[in-house]
Amino acid sequence: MKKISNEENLIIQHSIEEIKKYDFLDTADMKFKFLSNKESRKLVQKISKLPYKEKNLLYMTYVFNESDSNIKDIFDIQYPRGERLFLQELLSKSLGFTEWISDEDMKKAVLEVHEMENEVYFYNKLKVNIITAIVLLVFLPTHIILYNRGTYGEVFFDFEFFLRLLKDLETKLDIFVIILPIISIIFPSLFLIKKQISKEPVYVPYYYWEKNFNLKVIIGCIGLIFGVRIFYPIFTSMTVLLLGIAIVISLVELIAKEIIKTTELV
Amino acid sequence: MIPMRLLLLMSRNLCDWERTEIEKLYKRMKKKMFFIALDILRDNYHAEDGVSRAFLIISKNFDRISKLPVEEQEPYCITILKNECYKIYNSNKKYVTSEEFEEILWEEGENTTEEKVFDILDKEKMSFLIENLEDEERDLINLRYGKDWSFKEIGDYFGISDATARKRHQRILEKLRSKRESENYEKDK
Repeated sequence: MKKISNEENLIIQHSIEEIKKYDFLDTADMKFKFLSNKESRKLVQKISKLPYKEKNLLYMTYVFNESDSNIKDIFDIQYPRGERLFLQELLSKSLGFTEWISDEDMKKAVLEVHEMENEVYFYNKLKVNIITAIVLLVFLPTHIILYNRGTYGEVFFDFEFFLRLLKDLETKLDIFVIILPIISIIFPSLFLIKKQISKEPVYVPYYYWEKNFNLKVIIGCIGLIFGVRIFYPIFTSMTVLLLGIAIVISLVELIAKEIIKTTELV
Repeated sequence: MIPMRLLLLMSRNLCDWERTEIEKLYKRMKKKMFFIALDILRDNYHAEDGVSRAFLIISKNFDRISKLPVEEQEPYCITILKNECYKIYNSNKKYVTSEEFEEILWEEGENTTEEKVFDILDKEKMSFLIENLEDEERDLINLRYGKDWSFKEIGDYFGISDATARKRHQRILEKLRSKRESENYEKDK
């Protein structure tokens, strides 16, 4: 446990008393300021810089409309009202106001920050899909062209294994090579369209962002290919073609996820 | 992680409908919540602990959560989870939080009357000195000690580096210390 000096003890006691004072503050006589668009944007920036504990408190009040007594129960904090009013005053002072920010403006800004935060995974997924689509769009057609020209040896990625198994399916493979990036980008695009229509936060299931998900897909596909090859050899080439696509997408996504890295929350 | 059935037993009396609904919510959310907790805590054990704690609170407040629109239930649960993870994260840092500190203060209370009077006088003096600090200095002190913000969090908020926040904090402490000492010296004289 970190040791606290007597001086720090006194400061902590004072600071706790300060927060307690805010808990009993009468807001009836306070002057409130209504913000312009520019000021609102600044407020959003300031709220987004608050630590998660403080942001959660604001979310509970302004997004989920919870009462102070409920917040006290849920978050196990002693002075939820005091903490919230302290934060509101801090935000007002940080923006250079002498008045308090109106509740309407606070609500609008907190909602915006909440939406931004929940969309982190959505935009990460979108980034991964765009990178995957670009890689597949550029790399795979180049590969096929080089293969058809007989300069395959110049390409470092060994795709010969699939092609040898497919033999007569080059044309179909060409089609899939074009479809591949489209598949990769179609899902986030649908999410994006849905978001534009609904104007509400769109939540992407977390497993989309999980690296293990891609690993599981790759292992599963390889297992399935071997299974089909042993038990239903007639369907091997088609299985290799379809599951090969899933393997390529997952592999590129895995690399893209590694490049982007998971957004740190703390 | 606490198994779901045990968790439901631990929580208050729930009716069958609530039990089924919580189980449904748990099945739907557990993976997502676990990975969010893992993102914050970077440790499987603590992440599982975070999810369990969050679900205990969710089950206690389920009557409220069930009244929320379906699209709000998920972010509501995640807000609770993040808060619990933040608590675990702070306790792992081995700092004394303001809530813990208040508990310690209550537990102490073994001082003699004379010591108590000196404590109060000391406290009042310190409060007076803090009140006389500049606005920004007072905010920094309150955030650091009253709200347990780290120097990184203070730096992020004020748009300065951690090192600058630390330096400012040190400077304020020195200022308070010197004022306190000079007042004590004048009184002794």
